[in-house]
Amino acid sequence: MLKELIIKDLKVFFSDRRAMVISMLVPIGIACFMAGIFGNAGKTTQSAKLPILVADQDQTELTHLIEDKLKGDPHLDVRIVDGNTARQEVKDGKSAAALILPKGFSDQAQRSGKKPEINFLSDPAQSMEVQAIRGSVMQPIVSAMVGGGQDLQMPFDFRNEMESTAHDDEGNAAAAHVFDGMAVQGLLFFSIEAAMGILRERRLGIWRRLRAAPVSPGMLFLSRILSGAIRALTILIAVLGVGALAFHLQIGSNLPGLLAVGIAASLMAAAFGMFVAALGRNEQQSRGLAIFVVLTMTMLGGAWFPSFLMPDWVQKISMIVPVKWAVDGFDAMTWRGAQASAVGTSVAVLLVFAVVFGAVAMTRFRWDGEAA
Amino acid sequence: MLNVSGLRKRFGSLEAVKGVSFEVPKGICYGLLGPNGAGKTTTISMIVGTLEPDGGSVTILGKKTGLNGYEAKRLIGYVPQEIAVYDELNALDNLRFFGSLYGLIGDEFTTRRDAALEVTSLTDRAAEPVKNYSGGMKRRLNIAIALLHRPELLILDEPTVGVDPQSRNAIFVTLRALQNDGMTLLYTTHYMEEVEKMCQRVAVMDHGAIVAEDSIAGLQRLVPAPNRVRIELESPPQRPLLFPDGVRDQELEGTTLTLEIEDLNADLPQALAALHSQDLRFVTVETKETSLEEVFLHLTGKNLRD
Repeated sequence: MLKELIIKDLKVFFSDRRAMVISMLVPIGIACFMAGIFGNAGKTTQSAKLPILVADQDQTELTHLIEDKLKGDPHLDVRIVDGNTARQEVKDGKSAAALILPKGFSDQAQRSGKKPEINFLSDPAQSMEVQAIRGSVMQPIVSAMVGGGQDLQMPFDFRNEMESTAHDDEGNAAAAHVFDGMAVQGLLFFSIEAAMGILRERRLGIWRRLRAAPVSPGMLFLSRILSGAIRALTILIAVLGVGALAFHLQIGSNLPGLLAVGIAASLMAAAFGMFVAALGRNEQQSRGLAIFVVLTMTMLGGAWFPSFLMPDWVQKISMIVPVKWAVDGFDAMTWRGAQASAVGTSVAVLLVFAVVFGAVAMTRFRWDGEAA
Repeated sequence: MLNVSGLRKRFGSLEAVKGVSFEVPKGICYGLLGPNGAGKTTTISMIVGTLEPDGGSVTILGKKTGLNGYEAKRLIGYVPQEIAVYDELNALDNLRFFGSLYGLIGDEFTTRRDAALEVTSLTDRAAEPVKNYSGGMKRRLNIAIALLHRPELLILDEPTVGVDPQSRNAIFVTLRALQNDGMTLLYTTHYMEEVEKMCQRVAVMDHGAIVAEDSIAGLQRLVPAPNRVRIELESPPQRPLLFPDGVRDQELEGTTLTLEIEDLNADLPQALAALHSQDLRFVTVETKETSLEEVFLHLTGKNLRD
C-alpha cells in the first residue's frame, strides 16, 4: 500500500515534466548565481572595486601623492570631486564614502603635535561597504605620508561624519534597509500568489465568463491591477508599520514621498503578477519559475545584501531590476531623510515597469484556457 | 435568434471547428450534441465572444458577436462548463459582482437577483459561502449568474457534468421554466438523454463539423432502422414461432420477444394474430424508437461516448 502511494505521487510529479524541470532548475540556478558571485566561479570576472570620492581642498604635493596612492590601489575606484559634491553624493546615497583632505592638511602634517585630520564622510545605510572602504584607504594614505618609514604611529586621524539627513543611528539605518528590502520582496511574493489566483480562476472558467460579459479586457485588467496594488499596499503598510514600531523606521518624516514610492512599487508588483499569470501555463510551472525570477530580482536589486558585494556586471544589470528602484526609493524615504523629489526617478522607473508588465500581460493573456 | 455561419477555428495543426453553420429559432431549446473533443466548447467560445474565430460569423438578433461585440454579449447568458463562481463568496456577493458587469445596480439588481435565486431554488441558502454548497447547488448558481440580466439567449455548456440525478432534474425543471417564459436555449452536452428530454432541435457534431441537424424525429428518420416491437409473453413458447412475411426478424429471450416489422400498421396486427393462433398470450406490446445514440452511430460509425 505504502509503495503504491509513493509510486502514485512520483508519477504525478514526473507527469508534468516542465514543472519538474523548473523545480530542479530553480535551486540550481540560484546556487550557480550565488556561487558565481561569491565563489571561485567568479575568478574570471573582475572583482568590484570599492568606490571612493576624494576632495582635495589642500592641493599640495602631499595631498596629490595621497590621491595618486589611492588611485594606484587595485581595490579602490577613486573619483576626484569637490567637497560639496562629495557631501551631496554621500548624503543622497549615491556613494558610500568620501575623503576630504582639508585645507592646511599638509602644513599640519609637517608640524609636530596634533595629527592632521582627514574628513571621512560615510553613508550609514551602507555600513558594510563603508567599513571595507575605511580599511582599504588606510594603507595608501599611510604609505603616502610616511613613505617607506617604520613609523608605528598613525600619521593622521579620521574625522568621521555620517552624511545623512536621517534621524537614525547606523544600526537603525541597517535595520531600516532590511525592512525596506524585505517589504519589496514581500510585495513580489504577494504578486506570485496573485498570479496563482488568476491562473486558478482561469482554470475554473471565471476569466472566460468575465470575457463573455460586455466589459472590455482593458477594464478587466485595470481592475485586477488596481485591486492587486491595493492589496500590495496593505502588505507594505503592515511591514513598514512593524518596522516603525519595533525598529524606529522613520516612515512619518516624508509621507508623500513614501506614499508615492509605495504606490508605484505596489502597481509594479500587481502588474508583475499579471505578467506571470499571462506567461504561465498552469499554477505548478508558473510558481516555480516566478519564485526563481523574484529571488533573482531581490538579490540583484540589493534587497538581501549590499550591491557592492557583487561584480560590476551584476551591479550594472541591477539598473534594469525594479527591486533596486523600489529599495532605493524606500531607503530614501524611510531613514535617509531625502526630500520627496529625490524619489522621482525611482517612482518613474517603477511606473514604467508597471506599464511594461501590464502591457505584455494584456497581449499574452489567454482568456479561454484550454478550449476544445 | 442565433445565426452561426461558416465558423472555423484552428489550434496549430488541429482544426477544431470546420465551417460550422446552424440557426437557432427564438424560443426553442437547441441541442449541440457530440462527444468530448468534438469542438462544442470551442464553438460556444466563439459564439459568446471569448475566442476569435479564424473565419465565419455569429449574429444574435442581427448583432455580430466577437471579442468586442458588446451589444451581442448583453443578449447572451453564458453558463460555462466549469463552475465559474467564487467559492469564498456567498451567492449574494457572486450575483452582485457578476451583475455589476452588466450594469445591474440598486433596486433593479435586487429584483433580478431575487428572481434568479428563486428560479434556481437557492433563495434559502443565498447568504452561505458557496464552498459549503453541494455540486448541484453550485451548478444552479452557475446558471443563476447567467440569468441575472435576463438574456435573450441562454447558452449552457455541459451544465450537468458531475451532477447527481436529483440535481440534474432540478436543473431541467429550471430550464423548462425559462423556456416556457420564452427564453431561447442553446444546450451542449454529450448526454443524448438530456437532448432527447430538453431539445426541440439538434445539431450533431463530430470532429469539429456538424454531421446532421434536424428535429429529434427528423434525426431518427435518418437511420434506416426497421420498426421494432417488444412483446412480453405470458409464458415462454414451447416450439419455434411462425410469423407472416411482414416480420423480418425475431429474437426471443425468456418471455421477451423482439420483432422487426416491415410496416407497423399492416404487419403488427398479423403478427399478434399469429401469436394468438399459436396459443400464446401477450402481456405488453411496445414499439421501440431509434435512439440518438443509434443516430450518432449511424452518422459517425462510433458510439457517442467513445
